[in-house]
Amino acid sequence: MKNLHPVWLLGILMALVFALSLFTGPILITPMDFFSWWKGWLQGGPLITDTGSLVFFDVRLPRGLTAVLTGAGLALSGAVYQGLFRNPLVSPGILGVSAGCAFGAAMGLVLPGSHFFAVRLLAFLCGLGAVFLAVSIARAVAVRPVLVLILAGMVVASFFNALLMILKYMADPYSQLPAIVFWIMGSLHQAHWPDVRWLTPVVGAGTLIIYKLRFKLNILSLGDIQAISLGLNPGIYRALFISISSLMVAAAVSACGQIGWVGLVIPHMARTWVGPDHRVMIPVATLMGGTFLLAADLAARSLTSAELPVSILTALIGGPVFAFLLYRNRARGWL
Amino acid sequence: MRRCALLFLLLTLVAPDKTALAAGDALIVTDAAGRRVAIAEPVKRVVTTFKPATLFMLSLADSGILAGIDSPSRRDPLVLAIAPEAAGLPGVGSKSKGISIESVLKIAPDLVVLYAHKDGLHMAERLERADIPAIVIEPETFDSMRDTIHILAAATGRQDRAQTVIAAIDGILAQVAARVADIPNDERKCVYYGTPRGFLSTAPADMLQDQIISLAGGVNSAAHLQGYFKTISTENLIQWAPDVITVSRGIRSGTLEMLRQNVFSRLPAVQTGSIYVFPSSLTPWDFPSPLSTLSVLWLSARLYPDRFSDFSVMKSVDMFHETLFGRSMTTMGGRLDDRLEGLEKKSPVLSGADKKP
Amino acid sequence: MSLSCRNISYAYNGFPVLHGVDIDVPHGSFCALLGRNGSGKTTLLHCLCGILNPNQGDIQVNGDALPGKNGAARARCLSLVPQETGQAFPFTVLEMVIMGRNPYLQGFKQPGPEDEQAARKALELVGAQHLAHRRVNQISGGERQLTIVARALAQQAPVMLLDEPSNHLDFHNQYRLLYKIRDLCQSQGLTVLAAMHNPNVVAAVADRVILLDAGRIPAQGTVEEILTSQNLSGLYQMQVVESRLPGNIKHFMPVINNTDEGSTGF
Repeated sequence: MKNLHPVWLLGILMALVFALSLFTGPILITPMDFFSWWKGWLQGGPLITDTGSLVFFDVRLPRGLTAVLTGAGLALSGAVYQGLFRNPLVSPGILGVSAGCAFGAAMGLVLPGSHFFAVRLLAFLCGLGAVFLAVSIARAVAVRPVLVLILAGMVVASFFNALLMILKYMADPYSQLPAIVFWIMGSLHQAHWPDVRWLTPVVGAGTLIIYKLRFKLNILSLGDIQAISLGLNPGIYRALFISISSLMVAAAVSACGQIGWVGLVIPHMARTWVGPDHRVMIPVATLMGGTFLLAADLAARSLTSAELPVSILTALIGGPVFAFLLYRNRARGWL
Repeated sequence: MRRCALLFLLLTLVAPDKTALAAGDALIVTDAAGRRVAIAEPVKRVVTTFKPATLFMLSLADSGILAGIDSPSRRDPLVLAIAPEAAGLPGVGSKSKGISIESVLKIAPDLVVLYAHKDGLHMAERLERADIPAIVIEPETFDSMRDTIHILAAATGRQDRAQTVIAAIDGILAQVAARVADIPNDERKCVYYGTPRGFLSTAPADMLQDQIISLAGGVNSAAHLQGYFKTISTENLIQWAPDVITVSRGIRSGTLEMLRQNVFSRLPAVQTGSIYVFPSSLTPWDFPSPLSTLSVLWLSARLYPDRFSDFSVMKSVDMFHETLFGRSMTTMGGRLDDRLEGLEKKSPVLSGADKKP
Repeated sequence: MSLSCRNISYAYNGFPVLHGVDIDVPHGSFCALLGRNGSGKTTLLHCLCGILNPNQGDIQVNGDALPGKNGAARARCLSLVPQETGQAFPFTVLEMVIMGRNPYLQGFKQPGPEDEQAARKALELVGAQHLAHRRVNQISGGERQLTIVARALAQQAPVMLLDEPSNHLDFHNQYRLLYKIRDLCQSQGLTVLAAMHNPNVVAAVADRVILLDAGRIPAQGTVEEILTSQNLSGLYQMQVVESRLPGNIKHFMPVINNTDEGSTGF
């Protein structure tokens, strides 16, 4: 049961960072304020009585939850993709899923008569299309599978980003453009309750299903031949895992745009810490991703007096960490 | 292929021949970048490469002087109202998407007016090498807008006209200043400005929009920030608690969506319904152009209606348009159109989080 | 339990690989599958364990038709030790062996203590319990193959298929692994069908041989009757001479004629 340890540790860490993020911001809110609101509420009064409580419950709480759900969803999707494609170098960003989702979301926004649901559905469909394209290209090339899948992902990502740029170019600079730019540079500064209401069921159910099926990821990571000989139908499980994780990426991208590196680096850090067994690594990566994005967003909104897009910070941290991991694993033949 | 060769010839062979030009009826103009540009008189055909340049040019001269304009201006309702033929003028690109040097060379104008940012300077040098005089202007503040008028007037020989335009601008600004001068600092209204980049993007100190707010007698809620347009968080806006919210025209729907959120319900501006969209229906006043002057007047009248009770904003607006462009805004079919429609007033406290189970 | 198949044919992209193959592997026997490269050994094994779907024919375990499409049911009958492939992730040996329990873990079920028990027992059977917590990238190739054999044992399937199990192993490990498997046949009643390359190794460890030549079975039976210099000469299309080692074990040597080097066999 010593394997439970990192999970508890991360749980506590996440709770601490979450609490810190709730009490950090330009408006001073102390735990005393918090208790006085609860006291008032327990005595039958409204919970939101002043600006402080409004900021606390309607700004920081949904933002913190969005960060946790997005980070967890992205890290989990990354872990799933890596296991599924037996490739430690893939992630929603590298396979072009994020770019596909961002393009789909932007298209949903530009299409006439678009609304909330259309944006998310298109994000999901284009994300799924991106994985399918990347995998098809890699299959067609069929040499050096690890490297080719990454290159295929690059092709797909730049293709969808180019489509997004075309939308940006054609968009009305005075009305749709700001929203499209939002998908390109991920940020949590607009996070509000509707995002949480949409993310919670998608990421929650996705996480639960993947958590329950995480042992199957071990088997899928052995490759089709061994998976079948171990009595697993790789086609069905792969489709299931890809759909669920792409849905989570789509939800995350719709909520806060493209946030890179979380899906690539976090699963690696989890694997380095607790080993590759998905039974332990999946919950660790999920919690780690949530905590990481929460902390990154806390930094993004505290470092300057305005807002820094959190995707800049994740890239700033993720890039070097990944370079280090590449160096450390140079003998393992990742490519 | 032939066009390429021609372009090459223009760019290389003709370039050393500059002395021939300087020997004629040349006029030396110092532009906003401090470049001394020789311009052969008379200037009859001008190409403007961004909307502020187009509007400044139109305020100084008849529309006939324009031989080519920036592509977005060909669809601008104000430009079209002043000069219907603008729709048929060659478009040369835009500041954000790039200027096509080839289109400019094809027009072969007497003068090209460029911007000082981005590739503007580089483009000016290239044009000069092709013997087309190019000046850059930088209308970013009220001071630099006056400089812009002087530079353009000098380059096109319309100094008298420049005096009229500047007098009209200064007249409006003086009227506003007289009405708001005695407002004590702690009674000045705090104004938030949402930029075309989105509702949660605002203009820091020293930008034109910051100037508009302070000239109108308000205080920019983001005056403590520096730099170009800045993205802020919901919490920043709540902390600043602006009395009045103003937004750029393009983000009306995004603003509505945002302000319908419960989190903003306690903002003074939301509670008093003081949410305005920068006029006008013809062209946005919150960007550099002679019309930025009118945004000062309009905003001031919105901030302190009591001080403008005896004053007709529309009349001044119409007169200003008439002075600059020869037609009043009303006759051009323009409206202020500064209300954000569709935002029902909310009770100050209402949240999903405070409903007891 | 015995394994047999009748009239198995398989074509890969329209190119026939197996032509109506019939084989019989009796209960508790170690049966070697010998054939040249490309003769269809791996294809046959993959058809047996459901990785490939044969175009026709049926497979029987103990006289009953093999549970068809259901992967888990088939995996409880037949286990496979594939040719060694690289691992994407460095699992520990125990984690690897526990994966053999998958056929018993339907849907959301995760391996429990009893599965870990079974995995440890399988490791014990191959004598690798000391490796349990080592990572598969930190052990030798022989130990890695032992791990995969243990995983196949953890599947608790009565029939084990092995695809060139000793291919990458050194002289010592090769024999150690195969003797271990032969012991399991004798002690656990395991039925083994192993694709192999070296007739001398086959002579030392197997008790039955199936010859596979271009997708057909020219001969099958006991080592004594089938593993002859005549059969091998035909199979490998080169002259093979037979001698006897102490213990009456057969030993074969090819007669290499330098002038036909490169003309056949490669």
